[in-house]
Amino acid sequence: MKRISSFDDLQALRESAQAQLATRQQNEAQVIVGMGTCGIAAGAREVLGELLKELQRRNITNVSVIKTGCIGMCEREVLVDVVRPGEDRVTYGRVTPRDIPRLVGEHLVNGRVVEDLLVGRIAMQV
Amino acid sequence: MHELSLHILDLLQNSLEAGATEIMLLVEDNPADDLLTFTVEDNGRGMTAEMAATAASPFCTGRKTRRVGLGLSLLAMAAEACNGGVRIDSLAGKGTRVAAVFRRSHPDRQPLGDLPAAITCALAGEEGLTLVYRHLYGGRQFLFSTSANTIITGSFQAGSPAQLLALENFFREQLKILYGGEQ
Repeated sequence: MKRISSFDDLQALRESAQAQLATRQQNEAQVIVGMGTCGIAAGAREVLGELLKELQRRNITNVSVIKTGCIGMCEREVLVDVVRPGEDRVTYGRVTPRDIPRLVGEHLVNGRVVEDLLVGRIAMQV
Repeated sequence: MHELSLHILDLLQNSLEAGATEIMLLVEDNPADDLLTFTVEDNGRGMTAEMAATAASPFCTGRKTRRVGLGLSLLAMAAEACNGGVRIDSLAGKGTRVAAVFRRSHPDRQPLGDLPAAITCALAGEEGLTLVYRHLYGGRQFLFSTSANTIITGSFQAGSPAQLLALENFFREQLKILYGGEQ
């Protein structure tokens, strides 16, 4: 990389980095696992572990695995949200490690919502 | 919570939700003194003295969605059931340290459980987090830091499933060595 020698250089670098980050965020799918006390007690650690293994098995690299805290629907934990770029955020409930291959294969890869685990959808923010 | 490692994961998540960028986890397994202790210390936003004093109560929470918070109260209950307890020290704006002590041989003491999976889970997706993990057993120790680790060349990427799983296996092997094949 070119050496930064002026304020303008720094600003140009900042702009290009921001553009790169924005492209990445737009193109990257997300899987969000509820990791509050309720989620942990319901088995969120095992669900996240299986998710990592499934992504590795399928050699999927453009997905960010994110955790979130309690969202107040503790009785439906483990809650897992799947967000494909440009699509609605889909929330699944009572997810077990055994459901992970379906969530990844059906929804994340092929874009088909897994209806029997569905809790709700949040429309994409424009 | 049926394993101590799940309580540890809960504490690590508390630290992350408090905006911590540096977390130190210390596990002291000391059969000679019949004690099992773990401490999670962070540089998160901390709590006021009043909040810290009541943090272990189920009716105290920093959250706005509900009026109950169970994580620390469950930990306190588990520790007190084993003649132990929980100590919370916090400074607003500086960070928090939570220490839990258990009588190791107490029949109600939960097993440590799958600590490698719990730590990997805490690290997942947390770019920019420095975690130091130190585990003592019978005069030996295992020390790990995300900022200087030996198994992953280059910088640790918290978003990479392959790196996280490699790390989990590394923890598993190292703990096996630390415990000399027992446990």
